[in-house]
Amino acid sequence: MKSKEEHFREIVSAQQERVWNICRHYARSQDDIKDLQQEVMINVWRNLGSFRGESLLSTWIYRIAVNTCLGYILKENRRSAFTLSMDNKGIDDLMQTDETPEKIEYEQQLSLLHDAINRLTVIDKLLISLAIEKIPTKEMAEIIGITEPNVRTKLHRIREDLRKMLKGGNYES
Amino acid sequence: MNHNNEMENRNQAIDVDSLVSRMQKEDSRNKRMMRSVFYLYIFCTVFYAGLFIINPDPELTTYDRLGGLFYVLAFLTGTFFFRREYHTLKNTDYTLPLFQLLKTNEVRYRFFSWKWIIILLILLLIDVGISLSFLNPGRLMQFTILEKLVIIQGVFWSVMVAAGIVGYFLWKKRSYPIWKDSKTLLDELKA
Repeated sequence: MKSKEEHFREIVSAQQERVWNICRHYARSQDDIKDLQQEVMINVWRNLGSFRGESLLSTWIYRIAVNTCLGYILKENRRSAFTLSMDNKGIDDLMQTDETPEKIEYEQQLSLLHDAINRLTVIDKLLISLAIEKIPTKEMAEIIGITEPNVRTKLHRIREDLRKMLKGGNYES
Repeated sequence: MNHNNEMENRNQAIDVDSLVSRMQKEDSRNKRMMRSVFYLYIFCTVFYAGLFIINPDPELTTYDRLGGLFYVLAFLTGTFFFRREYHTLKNTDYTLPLFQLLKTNEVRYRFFSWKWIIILLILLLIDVGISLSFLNPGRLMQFTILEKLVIIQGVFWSVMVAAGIVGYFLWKKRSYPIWKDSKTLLDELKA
């Protein structure tokens, strides 16, 4: 029988990176990401007793991460909290960059995308952060508590919004 | 100067005051309060039952005993109500999916809810108890029954309204930001 400490230590080592990946979209500096990640882990520790195994442990931890990060966005500036990292492969899927002509510089595109994402609502930003982390829509539905078709519809709408915004951005530039 | 601003910004950013943390802080404070009120109500139930119902003192009139019965009923209702509230707060699940968490918050942190009916019932029972105690012919003899009623109701409800206003400001300061954020996010999710 594992003690609570042992169980928690296992969770930390297994999920730390995933939590970091979610947190990095909401905090500006490495220190802030570390603080936010720590806050998520504190909430995991506090609620460990309530985990009944009805969902995957990773889904449960994502839920806590999402609920914690949301409050952080609300406290920080709602419009400028999102951060994109250039090394994230999920961004390619999000914007389907294989369709984008190669002549457009990737960095410029990323900067435009970053600005566009920051114009989205808090919930849309949240969905995008999960999509960037390549979380399946089924798991996203479990994390957020809405149906899978609803997640897909919202993601489709967000992608459309982002494309429109990016077109506008390119046109203006 | 710049260095100070930088430090200030950094400190503000480091203060991770998330929605869940704010909820936990607020719930923990409310939980402590509910537990204290629960014990106070148990004490009052036993005290008033002993003083007005069990007490064999022959000087206690029917008005006193009836009044005491209403006090006991009020405190007994309050005991069950605050016990339920305490257990609800104790068993709050902060790991619910976002939509459910926000939906629960929107109900839990709103100012007006069904709980007001229970609180109003407790106040009405206390009001009847006080009124019966003072309608006792041996008390406030210089006033007529109608005058006694007007004075008792005026004083009692003035105090209760004042308490309600204080409660509203406390809610506005502590719970309203959580309710407002939850409501905004819930509306965004529903859209």
